[in-house]
Amino acid sequence: MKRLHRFTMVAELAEWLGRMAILLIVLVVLAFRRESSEEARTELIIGALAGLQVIGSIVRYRLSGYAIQDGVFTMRSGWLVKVEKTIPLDRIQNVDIVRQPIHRLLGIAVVKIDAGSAGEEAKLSAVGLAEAEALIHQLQPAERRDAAHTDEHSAMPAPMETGAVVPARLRSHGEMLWQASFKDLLMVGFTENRTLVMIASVFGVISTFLPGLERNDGLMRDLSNPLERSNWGVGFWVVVLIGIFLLGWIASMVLAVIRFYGFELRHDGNTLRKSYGLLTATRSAIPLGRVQSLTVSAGWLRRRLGYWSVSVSTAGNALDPEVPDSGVLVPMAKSEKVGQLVGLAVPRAGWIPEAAITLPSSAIASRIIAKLAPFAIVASIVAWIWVAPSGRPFWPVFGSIYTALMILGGLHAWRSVVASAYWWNPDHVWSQGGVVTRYRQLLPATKIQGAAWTQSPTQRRFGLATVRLSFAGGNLVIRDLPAEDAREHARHWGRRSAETGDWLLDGI
Amino acid sequence: MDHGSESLIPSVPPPILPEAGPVATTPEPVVTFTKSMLDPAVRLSWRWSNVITTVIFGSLMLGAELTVLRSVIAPPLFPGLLALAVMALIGICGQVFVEKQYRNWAFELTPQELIVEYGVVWRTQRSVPRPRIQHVSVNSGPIDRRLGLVSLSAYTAGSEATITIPGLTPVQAEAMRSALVRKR
Repeated sequence: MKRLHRFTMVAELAEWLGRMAILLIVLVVLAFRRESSEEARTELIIGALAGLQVIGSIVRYRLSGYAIQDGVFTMRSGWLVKVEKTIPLDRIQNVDIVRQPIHRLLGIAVVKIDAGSAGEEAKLSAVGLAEAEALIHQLQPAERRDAAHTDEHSAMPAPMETGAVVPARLRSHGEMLWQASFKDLLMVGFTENRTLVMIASVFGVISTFLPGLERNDGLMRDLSNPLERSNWGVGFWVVVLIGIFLLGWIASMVLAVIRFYGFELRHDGNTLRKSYGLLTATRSAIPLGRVQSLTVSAGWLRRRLGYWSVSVSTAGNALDPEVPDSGVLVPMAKSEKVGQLVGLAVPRAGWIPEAAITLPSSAIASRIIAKLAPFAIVASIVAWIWVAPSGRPFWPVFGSIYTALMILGGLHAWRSVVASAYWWNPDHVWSQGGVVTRYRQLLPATKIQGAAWTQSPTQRRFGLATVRLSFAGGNLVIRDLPAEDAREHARHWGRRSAETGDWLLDGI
Repeated sequence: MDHGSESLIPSVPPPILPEAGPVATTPEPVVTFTKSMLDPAVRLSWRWSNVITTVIFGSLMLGAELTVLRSVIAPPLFPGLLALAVMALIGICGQVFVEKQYRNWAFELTPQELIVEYGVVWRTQRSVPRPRIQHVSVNSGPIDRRLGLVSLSAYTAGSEATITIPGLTPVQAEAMRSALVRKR
């Protein structure tokens, strides 16, 4: 059993301080405001808490260990409750190296090993950087039994040798697929979909500062009064709104640079390796055969400029909050590059449809009713019971908001149907959709875990239904296609998946 | 993995489907279930759980009405009327739904997949390929135990691809369980 890095204790302490920051600040403030005659109770509390934490860290460090032996990764931890986790190497979905600023300062890294099932994940809270890089290669060797990607004539790859000499540097490995320049990252931030933020900020500005709206809140009145008194005209508000847009845009560019700084995606045997991040540095390895589903998406601005982003989900990483942007393959790429990546991750699938099937026009009516009817009913009840009797000049305001929302909802339903399509070949299904952000999702038949056909009351009226194909980590959903087609697709893909091989290990 | 002998499943005729694709190579017969309904007793189980949820929900609502709501909205004819009316409505609707729900519920085990169909307002047909089933569990709650019923859940790795069949007899459930976990 190997020990974790000694600095694990320091990193843990720093993490604990971060979590407890508010409480500690309160305690310190209390300590300073205390009369000198009082007992030093708060210092005692802080001291005791910190002491417990330090002792805990030391104990945890001394009891934790890990080993790779006979094709199995073993990790031991715990004092009162002893835990020994065992993960067969060929079940490992992906390995991530995450380094927050504190880890980088100390020259260590967190290694996360995903086995694809809930609660089975192993996290080495800190190992030395060189050790982490060695681990990622030992746990995710480039050549392994991910079947479809190996040459038909080549023999089965030899079983992994433990303790093999591993390269010290990760960056020098594999063929470079995509590398982000600083300009690329600015573009990523620039084209990020900010529609919602913009709408929200417009509403915020209007409701906070625009004169003439009734405000009862004392603070808001105090804040906005000087502005109201100053009698600035429409021009001022336009400038304010533009300023907010620009600020939002700049912020999103800065954020993109921080998130994806130094982004590199490499192709190394049967594994995709990527590294990125300015503050929290992440390195991941995604075995190609473990890709469960792939999504190509873009907001309206990015689409106009001809860029798309590509992400994949594996059984492990679907939504790991601790690994930022865990599924992203490239934050932004031109069509040809997207085609190359899709072809690499899921061979023979293609991402430009030859013949896509669009939804019937009755889907528009169905979506409008399904979306707007509940809203209309609730709004009417609210209006009737609470707003109308209050005696304010209410109907014009309410009526116009109501109508505007109805029209917006209708437009959204219409656009979403027009943008939706689906297509397939014998081994893959694609579904396309979205209004502002468009997406195309690809699901290989091998990875389908189950199929469902559902029909809501509205859909029944229009002879439509929804198909939902589940995979480990999510669903591919095709809404509002003709009921009979839907039934056929649900049955077909269920059967097709049963005919294919091992969903977890086989390539696509 | 040998999961019991065929004698465990006396009530279920295992029709051997010829030329059943990939499973045709299996030496032993593939156990299937033709499309069938749930045990009629499941209606009683649903009725009782309806009654229980209605009573719990109703008492919460009664409490809310007698305390908070009375001060907010205009008081009704006499205290508690609103809650009782809503409770009665939900209860009656639930009881009417039970029949329909029972009629719409069906399950089928083909050589390739496990298929269920259910739903009154939202209708669903759900299928899971047999090779994708990771594990199977058989459960029985207090009401079901009295009625001699069990429910069977088949889990997959998919996020929404778990199938639960309520209202099975233990014999049926055991037959299905052993059929589903048999190594192919």
